[in-house]
Amino acid sequence: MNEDHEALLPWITIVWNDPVNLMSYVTYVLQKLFGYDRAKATSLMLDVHHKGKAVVSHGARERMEHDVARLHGAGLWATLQREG
Amino acid sequence: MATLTELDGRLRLDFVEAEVTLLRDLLGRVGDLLADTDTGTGTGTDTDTDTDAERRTPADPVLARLLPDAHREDRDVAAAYRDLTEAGLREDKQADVGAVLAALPAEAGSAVLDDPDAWLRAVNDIRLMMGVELDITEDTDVPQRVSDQRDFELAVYFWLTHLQDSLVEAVLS
Repeated sequence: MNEDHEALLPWITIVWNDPVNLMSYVTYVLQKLFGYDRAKATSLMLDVHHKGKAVVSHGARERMEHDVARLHGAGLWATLQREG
Repeated sequence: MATLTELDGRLRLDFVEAEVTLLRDLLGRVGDLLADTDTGTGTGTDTDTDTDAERRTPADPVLARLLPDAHREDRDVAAAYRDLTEAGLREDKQADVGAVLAALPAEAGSAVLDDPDAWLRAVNDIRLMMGVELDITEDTDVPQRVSDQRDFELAVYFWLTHLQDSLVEAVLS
């Protein structure tokens, strides 16, 4: 992939599984921060728990930095990266 | 055991004195760690300037969990993010710790949770700290006996887990 194409790819925010954060708390944080309904937040939380991670948002890098900052504020283990 | 009640839409926690003492001590430790910006950063073997040192993952494993890297592989992205956000994240977490400390009774008594999310974050940060210190995994169980310091700290950790779970249930309902 050339750099021009890569630069156009959106960024994603990933939440990773960790042994401390409670499933209920992760669900609550995803609802609160992203406005997801209970079903969507629960589904993402289950992906985190069972698959080890879930993509919780995607968009411009600055937007993803903002999302990661809010997730870190809540104590979730989150990172950003370019999609793909 | 701290008792959570809800009255007219407000959450209230009732504590015995020992619980207040424990919470104050643990919150104080989290707050002290977050306030320590001198020794918390990694000391590389190269000759990076102080500015670069500030951009690295904290050497203290608890701080590295409370203030995690924002990118898993790309150190430049992680460093740029840390420049932008770490000071603010430390301040926000210290503010949560301060809010809970201010709301705690002096001894046995009750605390009204004006900002339940601050309590959730602060209690969770204590659990994240203890999770690193006690090397908590998905398989860690409640100790059946308290025969050493680790058993005691594990018991405290699971007490906080129960408190966190009760708080989440209350804010979700």
